[in-house]
Amino acid sequence: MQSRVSRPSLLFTLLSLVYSLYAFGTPNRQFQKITITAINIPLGEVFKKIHQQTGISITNKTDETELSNRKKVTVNFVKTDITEVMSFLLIDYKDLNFIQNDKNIVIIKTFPLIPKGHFIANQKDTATVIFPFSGKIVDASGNPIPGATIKIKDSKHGTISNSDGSFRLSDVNKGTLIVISSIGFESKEIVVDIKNTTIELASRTNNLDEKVVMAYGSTTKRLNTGNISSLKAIDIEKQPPSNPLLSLQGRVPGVVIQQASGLFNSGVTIHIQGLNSIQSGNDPFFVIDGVPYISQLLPIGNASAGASGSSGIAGNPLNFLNSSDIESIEVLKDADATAIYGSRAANGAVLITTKKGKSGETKTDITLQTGWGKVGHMLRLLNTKEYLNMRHEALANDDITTPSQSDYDLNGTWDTTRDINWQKELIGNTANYTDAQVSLSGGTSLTQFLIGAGYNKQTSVFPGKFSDTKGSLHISINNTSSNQKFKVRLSASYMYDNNKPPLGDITNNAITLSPVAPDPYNSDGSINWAPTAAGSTTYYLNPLAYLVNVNTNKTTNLTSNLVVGYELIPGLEVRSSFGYNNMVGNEITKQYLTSVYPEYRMYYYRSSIFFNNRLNSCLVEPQIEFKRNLNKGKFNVLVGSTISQNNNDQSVTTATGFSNDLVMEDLASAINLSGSNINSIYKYNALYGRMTYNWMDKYIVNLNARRDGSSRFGPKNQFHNFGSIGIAWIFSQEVFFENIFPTLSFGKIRGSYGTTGNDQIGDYQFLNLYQPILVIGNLYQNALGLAASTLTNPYLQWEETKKLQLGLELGFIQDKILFTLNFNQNRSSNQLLPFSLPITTGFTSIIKNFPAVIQNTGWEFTLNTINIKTKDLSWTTNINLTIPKNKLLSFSGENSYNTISVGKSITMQRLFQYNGVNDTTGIYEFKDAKGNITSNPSDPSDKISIVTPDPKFYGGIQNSFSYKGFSLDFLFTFCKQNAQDNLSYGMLNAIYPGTFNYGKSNQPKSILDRWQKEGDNARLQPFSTSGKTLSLVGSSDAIWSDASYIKLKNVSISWQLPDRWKKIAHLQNLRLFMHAQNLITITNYKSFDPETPGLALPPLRVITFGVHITL
Amino acid sequence: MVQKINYRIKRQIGTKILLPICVLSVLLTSCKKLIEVNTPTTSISGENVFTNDGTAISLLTGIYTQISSGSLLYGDFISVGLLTGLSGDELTLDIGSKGQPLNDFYINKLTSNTGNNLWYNIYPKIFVVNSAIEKLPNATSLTAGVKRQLLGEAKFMRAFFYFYLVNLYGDIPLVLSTDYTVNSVRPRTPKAEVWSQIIADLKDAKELLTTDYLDATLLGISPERVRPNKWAATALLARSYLYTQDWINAEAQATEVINHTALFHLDSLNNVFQKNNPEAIWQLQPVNYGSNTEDAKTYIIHSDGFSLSKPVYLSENLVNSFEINDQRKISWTNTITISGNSYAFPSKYKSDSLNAPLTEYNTVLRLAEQFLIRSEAKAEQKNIQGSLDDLNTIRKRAWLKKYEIGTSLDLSKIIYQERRVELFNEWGHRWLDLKRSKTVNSVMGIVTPQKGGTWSPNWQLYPIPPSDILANKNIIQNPGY
Repeated sequence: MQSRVSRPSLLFTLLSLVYSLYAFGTPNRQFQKITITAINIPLGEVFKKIHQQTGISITNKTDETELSNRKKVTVNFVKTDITEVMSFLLIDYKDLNFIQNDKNIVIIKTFPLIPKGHFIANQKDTATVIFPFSGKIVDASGNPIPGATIKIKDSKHGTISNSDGSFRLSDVNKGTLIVISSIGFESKEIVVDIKNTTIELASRTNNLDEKVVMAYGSTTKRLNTGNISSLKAIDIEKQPPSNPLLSLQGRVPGVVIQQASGLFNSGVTIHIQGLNSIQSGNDPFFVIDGVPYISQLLPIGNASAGASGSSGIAGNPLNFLNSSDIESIEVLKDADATAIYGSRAANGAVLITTKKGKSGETKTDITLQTGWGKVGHMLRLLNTKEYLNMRHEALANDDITTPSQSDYDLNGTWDTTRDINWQKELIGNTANYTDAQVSLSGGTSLTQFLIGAGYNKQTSVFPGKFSDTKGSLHISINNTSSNQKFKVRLSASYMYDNNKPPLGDITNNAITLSPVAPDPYNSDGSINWAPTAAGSTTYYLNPLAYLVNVNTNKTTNLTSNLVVGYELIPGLEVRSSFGYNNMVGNEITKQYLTSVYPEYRMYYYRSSIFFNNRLNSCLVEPQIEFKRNLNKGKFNVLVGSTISQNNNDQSVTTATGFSNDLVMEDLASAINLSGSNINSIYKYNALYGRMTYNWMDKYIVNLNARRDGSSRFGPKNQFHNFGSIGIAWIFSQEVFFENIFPTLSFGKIRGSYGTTGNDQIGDYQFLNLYQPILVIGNLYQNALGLAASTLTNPYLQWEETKKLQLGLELGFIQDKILFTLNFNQNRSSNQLLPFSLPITTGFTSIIKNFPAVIQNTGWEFTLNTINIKTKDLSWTTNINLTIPKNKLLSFSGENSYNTISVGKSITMQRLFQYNGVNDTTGIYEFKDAKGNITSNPSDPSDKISIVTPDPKFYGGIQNSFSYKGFSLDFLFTFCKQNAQDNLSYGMLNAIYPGTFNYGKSNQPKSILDRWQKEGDNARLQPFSTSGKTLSLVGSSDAIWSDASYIKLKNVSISWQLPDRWKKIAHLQNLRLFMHAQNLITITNYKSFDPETPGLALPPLRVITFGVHITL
Repeated sequence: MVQKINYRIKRQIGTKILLPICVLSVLLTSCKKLIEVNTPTTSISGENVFTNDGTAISLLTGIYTQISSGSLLYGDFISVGLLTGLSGDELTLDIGSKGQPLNDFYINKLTSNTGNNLWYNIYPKIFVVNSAIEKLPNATSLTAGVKRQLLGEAKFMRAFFYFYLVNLYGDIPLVLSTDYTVNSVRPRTPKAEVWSQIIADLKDAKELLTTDYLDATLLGISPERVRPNKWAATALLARSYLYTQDWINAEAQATEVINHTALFHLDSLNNVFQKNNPEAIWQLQPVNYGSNTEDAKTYIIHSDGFSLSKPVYLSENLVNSFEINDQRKISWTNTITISGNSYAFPSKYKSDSLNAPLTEYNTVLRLAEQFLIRSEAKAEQKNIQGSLDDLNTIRKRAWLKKYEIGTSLDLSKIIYQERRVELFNEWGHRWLDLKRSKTVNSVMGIVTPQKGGTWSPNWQLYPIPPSDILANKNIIQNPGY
């Protein structure tokens, strides 16, 4: 019986499918007759059969209806009307009802307005009232929601709300089910009852429908065709105040962020989906409120903060942006998201959106916090006894019987009873954090404003008064004309930063200074040079001597953006964005005579170096955007153009020969002045377009195209085209899918392919330039000299990255579990590289486009789960994991370029292959290229071992709990990687175990494992005062070790005042909080911090406490 | 009403202003003009350097400035004297500086990564002189005299650079153009070919250069002997003939210089390193802030002893090689007692205090060497008396007794000895003489172990930087490295 039914029913389904494709949405009453006979069949099976026979899908949200699809029923229908079938099936459930149109039936809890079985939509044969239905869509605080979709459920009849939130639908039956949806809000279904109503939408807690900012627009996670990760203010604020990029650490897949140092205003490197470029910049494209922002600062004199990326320039431009002003940070990764930025976004893009005002009562937000930072982990170094033993042994090994005149630690000059822990003395202080933020916001439905002000001060862990103070102001004003056609949006941020950093990072001194080295200060507070009786200095490397010099760096930064838009006809908007950035930095370094040892002062002179840096950029970006509903789909076209110019001006003045310390900022008091300056201009011009077609939120196609011209490239190659295609299929919207996987609430497959470019090579690289030679003394014959600075290459062109991405996004149990899987394969070619030249050509390199291809593949996983959500208690978990792989696919000039190799990562290093210490001779041995053991391998032919610092995988796990007013959030980050470990074989920066080096001679405890006599199975060669072949081990793979880690990166605890207390205190809100950063690190890595390998000051462990008040 | 007007204004902004902006900018897009930039105002494009006298002269002035601004301690070109002095038997490295890279030179244990500073320092300058030699002949807008002089200076400098390269490194890539595609694959050129190029360049330079010393405009005569002229080219030509054992020409060239008494004659020992003294043929004017010569700054030791910036003193070998009464030992060396030990140090240049007036210039070519060249050339041609006459001219100034003909003399040996004590610590003479005289293995076989190293004949040549071997597979490393 069943089989007899099934065959026609298959045909039926096919027919209905074909039919529905051609005549989607027309009522087809003839298909709504059901024939099913079965005993004890699960309810779900009945629904399936109904679907097969009629094409009508039945939605039973079991957790709402509490009616299981597995419930067994016995039925006997022959050509029965579907309404009757449904009524029969639900006859035992008084609180259940169903609503129906020609494609869908939804089982719902009691719907008191309508009698059971009432046909709702487009049912002409029922007596209904037809009237125009109008209303207004607003959010929870009463602000209008423009652009919301108002649609009769499962029909194409619908409209979009105007900019004041209002809408009007003609010819609506009373009782019709209407669906209202808008980006960032919960969709709502209402039944038409009265003619005019105000409908309030609740903002989305579901992150699928949260607004996601993209290039020149916004979308949602649900509808996005590209790979964009988003971080909101709520997570950014969990960070103690610092560079906003650091808040992305561990929270966003595909992104590696490294802090160069634990000093304030430190460099921060960000790499999105791996390194695409061997030598040019790997910095992403930064955009703040639509205006491109610099990725690198201009050079300054003080490099103590560490560099951002490979440029070597200290600091990071985002240090001059107040992280409290940021509403969201979006990381754009694939071609679909970035191709519209053309030649600048091959390394991805980071979009920063600042906070905007919201309409409503004017409110004041105040956040105050204070905290402390310390070096989290000190190194284990030799104490005095071990140190002196090492030195004596080194002398004995070298057959030196009496310490030389300059062995101050052994010849009695220095007090060997001292045992100083220099780490404690030099980097053991506590850094203080103070932060205050006030903002005022509010507005009407037409105008909203926000004014924010911030103050932040940090100090350092070094001895001395080093600090960084920031004051900032942020303004945002939005206005819409009352006819909703004309819009103005202005946002501006200004920061003043007064940075007084140390002139060098003395962390290296802290770990290398001999434990018997004298006190840095004399009893009178002056620098102690520990002179001998004859008056000659012995303490050349007094770590505090150099810190006597003063470095101040004052920076002002203005970022601003004005957008003016006008809606010409409904759906067609013309707008233009005007951006202006201006960053001015003034750095002064004063080098005092007291910072050099007395004997040298006769050759030394007081000097002041003034760096005056000015970066400004202007941008005009006119756009036309056209939106239209087209055949059940939304059609969106954007055409725009960019005209921009960046000016970099730097002047460096060195003034020397001041007669005293007091006048060192007065150029007129200098005997000698010299200077240099850079004035470079970068012009950029583009035409771009985007076309998106979204068919029923089911199929989405997104096309981007851009034509770019840039002044950075040679006259022969200045223009280039970029483009991408992105498609998404939200398969969970397909009728058949809902039935197959009822627990799957969301399913999307997306893919994109396209090209982007990288033009980060600096200005004027294609010109053959001569520059004046800087002379601080006397000009040669009183005339200026010129020196050649570059070789010419008029064919310079962009690097190109072709990006392929595939993504799968799944939501389960009403999106309580969201899973994303992303695969990317980015291939970068046309590499801009300094082609290594022998110096015999006059230069070590020339910048050329190489046909090299670098491939970055990566798997990104994210899992967001709402584990518990009740009124009082909630627990959510976010997990992300990235498995990257970098590989050089092809390279034509490998022989001339020793640092890379086909098939290997571009970060690889070639090293000698370490083979241990020979137990007979005590000498380090290596395997040479032929496999023989040698203690004298030749460079480079025997560098056969290849290592790379690339992470194997990395990610983060964030858990958030909240119970009533309490909330607890902690983030673990993890990474599997290798890194250079500078300690296992002694401090290898030319300080070999046993050498004295003017007191820069201490060593880690691990060097005690050294060879002393024949047969010793030791790790280190014998101590020696001269180093000999020790440098070879530093060029071998011996010093590379596992640097994997798990880190409790961030903990945030807060407590919100209960409502009734708030009322008593007349506060809208009061929250106390604690934020902690870098709390615990679990690792085998020997040096300070595996996240910032090396021997610079590591990122600090910071704890802050604060209060947030809303008035 | 007011609102209505507002609308109209806003509508006008929309249609009349924004739309045209958009349309216009779209039309303008891809217009080359929008992305054209002028050459930066802070540097000069290669095309423009040879379009006027000023910038063209600056190019050569730049080379002298760069050489002169170098530091002895960082292996700049000017440190040839210090580095070869450590490699040879002239200088001792203070024990406190043993960890420094200088130690590799001192114990004759250079690795391919140390000991290539000079190579690195010289070749970029050769690029500049090559670009001058290439472009000057076609530079139509230059004054004829300036053009001629610059071409001469460029050829002289090229010869000067190759003289040191071929002596320090052996066969070297002879780069004569600015085309990197050719130069980057050029193999090492046999020494003989390099020498012919040096001599050819010097002959050209001699023809091109003026007989006077010129100022920085190259139009006026200057008392400053800091730009090479015809006599500098002749003096270096004499030296080059000597090194290539062309005795007749060596003698002839040296004679030309010596006979030009209008400009040159021997001066008293204390004046030899003064600026613009009559013995100087070519000097480098110091350019570094506050100091006279880098030599004085580095070599003069005070009672506070050695330091990172003063790491060397004279070797006992050298100190003991002076004959008794040699006034050069008194005038050109000095001693200091530190912690009871006495150290001798070079004091050819004496002015080492900060901001003292410029009185001393680094002397690259001087007349005394021409006498010694001629003495040796004559000796090789069996003109014993002539040889001794020249030698005795030099000895006389040092208050040493004359050598007489007839006594059994190893003439070659005494000339080298005289060169040793006359030219010590100057531009590497001793190290080059050791190799030229083929006594290097016997001498260093004794000296190197004294310094704590082991001698091998391979160490006569410095190693070629590995980066150049990587970047140019036609270059082969010197043996032993």
